[in-house]
Amino acid sequence: MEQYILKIKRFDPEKDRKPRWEKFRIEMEFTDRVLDGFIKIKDAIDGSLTFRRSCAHGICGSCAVKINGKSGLACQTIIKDVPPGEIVIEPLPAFPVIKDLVVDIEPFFGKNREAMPYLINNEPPPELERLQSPEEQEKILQSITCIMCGCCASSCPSYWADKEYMGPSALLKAYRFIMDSRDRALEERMNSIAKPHGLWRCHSIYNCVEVCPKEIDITSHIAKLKRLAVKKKLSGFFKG
Amino acid sequence: MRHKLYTGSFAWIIQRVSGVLLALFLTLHLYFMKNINGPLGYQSIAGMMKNPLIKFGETILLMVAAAHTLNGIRIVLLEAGAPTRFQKPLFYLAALGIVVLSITGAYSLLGGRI
Ligand code: SF4
Ligand code: SF4
Ligand code: FES
Repeated sequence: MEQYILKIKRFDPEKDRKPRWEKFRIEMEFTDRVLDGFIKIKDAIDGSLTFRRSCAHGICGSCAVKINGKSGLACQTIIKDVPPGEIVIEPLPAFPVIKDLVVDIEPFFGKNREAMPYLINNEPPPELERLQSPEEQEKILQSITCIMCGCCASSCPSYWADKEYMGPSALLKAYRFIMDSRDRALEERMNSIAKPHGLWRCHSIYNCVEVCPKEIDITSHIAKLKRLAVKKKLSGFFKG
Repeated sequence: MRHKLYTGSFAWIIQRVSGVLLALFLTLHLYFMKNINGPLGYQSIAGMMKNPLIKFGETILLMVAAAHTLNGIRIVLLEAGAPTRFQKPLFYLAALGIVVLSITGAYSLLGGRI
């Protein structure tokens, strides 16, 4: 066990007019995760510390916070991997804070809904299921693994600057269905993303790729969509 | 600071700033060009270009243009399909190119010869 200091940015809407910093000194193993620190504080020091977590295994996406200046999952960040000394914890940037580390992710989910995150196929369903070949599956494999944690959007400079920008994960969602061999709504989907607050707001800054806890190569997925949009526009142009 | 910055963020900031500077320069450039009236006007502008201050300005312009061009090529390559694992190496390559162009350019513009 060793001593660690967790410096946490806190905000209680009932008491505080603006966020304040609080330091907690706790004992942790170097194999512990940042989330274990939160739980220790809540159990033993200050029960009012508020944060989200559910699975504690990097799969529900609810524990995303800013750790030493970088968006990441508290349950997936091992203490030995953060520089020794003070660990600085803040709520995710770019999302409105509700309390302490809990932010309002509704706008983020709303943008994902804009990308129509469901299969659209009006053809009569086959007897068993709509099949996909392994090669077809391969195309969308990475994009399927997104856990909607919001790390990408909260670290994206375009997302900070443009409140209406759909953001990396919504565009990734669009990719997931556009490239899905079973989906039939290509036109509709392309129209929903090939717009100023969609695809063209991504400037390939790669912050999203730097932080994604699922190591998804988001930017290259978005770039593929950009190329598809240009191709479609050009082919329409030449057809008249 | 809102979030840690990475290579890509720096590349983007350089691109933004150099883009704005180039747009400013182009406006001035076009303005002066438009207002050249005949050989005499040309003479006076040509004379002005010898001013060391202007020479210095031109050197800065060269650096900004080099940065915008090479950085821009990096982004075009990446968006045209160059894999993400090249985004940092490509930035370092562009940065190297910018430094080399700036030094050789400054040397020849400011009186040296290459
Ligand atoms: S793309 Fe990655 S960072 Fe973004 S929401 Fe999905 S899992 Fe999280
Ligand atoms: S690559 Fe695009 S989506 Fe990702 S952080 Fe940069 S601007 Fe945002
Ligand atoms: S608690 Fe589920 S991802 Fe961290």
